[in-house]
Amino acid sequence: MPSPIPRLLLTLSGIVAGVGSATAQTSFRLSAGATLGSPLVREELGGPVTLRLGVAPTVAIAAAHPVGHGYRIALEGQFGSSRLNVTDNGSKDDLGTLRTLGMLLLLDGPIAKSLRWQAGAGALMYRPAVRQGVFLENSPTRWLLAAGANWSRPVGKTLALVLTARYDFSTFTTRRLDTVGYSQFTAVQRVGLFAGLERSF
Amino acid sequence: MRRLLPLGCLLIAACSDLVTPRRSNPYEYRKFISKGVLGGGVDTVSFHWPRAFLPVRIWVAPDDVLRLHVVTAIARWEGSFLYGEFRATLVSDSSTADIIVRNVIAPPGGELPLLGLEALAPECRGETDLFYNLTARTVVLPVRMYVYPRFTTNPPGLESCYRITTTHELGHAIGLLEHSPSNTDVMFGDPVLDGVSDRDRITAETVYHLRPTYAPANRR
Repeated sequence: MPSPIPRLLLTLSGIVAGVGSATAQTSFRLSAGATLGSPLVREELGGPVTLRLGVAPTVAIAAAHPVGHGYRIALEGQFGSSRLNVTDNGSKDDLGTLRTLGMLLLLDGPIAKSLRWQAGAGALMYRPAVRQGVFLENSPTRWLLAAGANWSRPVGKTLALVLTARYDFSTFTTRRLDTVGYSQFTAVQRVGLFAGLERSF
Repeated sequence: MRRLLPLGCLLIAACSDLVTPRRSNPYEYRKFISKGVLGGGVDTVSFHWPRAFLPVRIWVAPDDVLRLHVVTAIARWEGSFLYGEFRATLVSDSSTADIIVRNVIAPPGGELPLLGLEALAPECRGETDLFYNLTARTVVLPVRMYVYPRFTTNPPGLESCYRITTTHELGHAIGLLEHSPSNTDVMFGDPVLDGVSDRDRITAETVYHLRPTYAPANRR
């Protein structure tokens, strides 16, 4: 099956380019990049076992609206697709595709002329292609906290090139882990780098 | 101080990890065999499918009454693992299979030494034959699984017996080479549990996380 990312990018670029009747000063951003995260599960089972996502190509679309004094509130949706990898006592294995969907409500504000900070919260949904292993009983949705910075450079009257560096934090556990007696959760930290276009209206 | 509390909580959360459960003791899964002419004494046989062999290829005839039960057994054992330690797929060509499943009485063993592992349910019987090479310390593929009725008639409960016995025999084929002493486990010699118990799961997990003494060989 072809990757859904190019198709999604095409659709989203259409939205960014085509939305002309939105509220004044509202901006839309479409970006693409990569996300890398810390392990989802780590434990000792006759040796170290680590379950983690590979580098995930990610697309994000955001709509931002000014809320005064240079601040903006933004709603962002992210889609990433990666491989779920396990390292088991030194041997590595690919457990198939794991997609993530993120929804974030962000506040952003100025740092310098073309540099802005952003911080917010939302939810991160894990969607494995195959229900197996730790994902046997459910596809979890977890809370997400995020912070980062945007650097932008105008490339036209209403268009700007935006580079984003993002850090986010969430917790991870699943119903299956709970069923077989695991407790607490793993702290998952991810970093992402994105490049995109922002259009103001 | 109160202002720092949320920050402290966040820091603790950022460093936290899953707490792994205390696992109960697995039952004996290894087979102890006589070395015979190779210096005498006893050799310990433990075996699991290495990740390089996954998914394990299983062949069962498309029109075989066991096919559905093999699918169920695969799902049950795959579902017992958290990290994809065992995965299997059905193949259409028996000449490429790692495990061959048949609904016939097990034939007598061939030239190689044989580990014949049985299940004795009331309506049906099962046997898994692993041929091994003592010198090379290998299990010679394919592993052969037989599940067949005890009587020529179709007694009530045969389907259920097939399902339980196929799960039991696949348990042998994935490396649980001994029987559980408890009838609450599917690996009990005369299995009655229609599923995989927690102790079966923990034992299978142990098999796949300890170094085996034998490795599969002669994959076609």
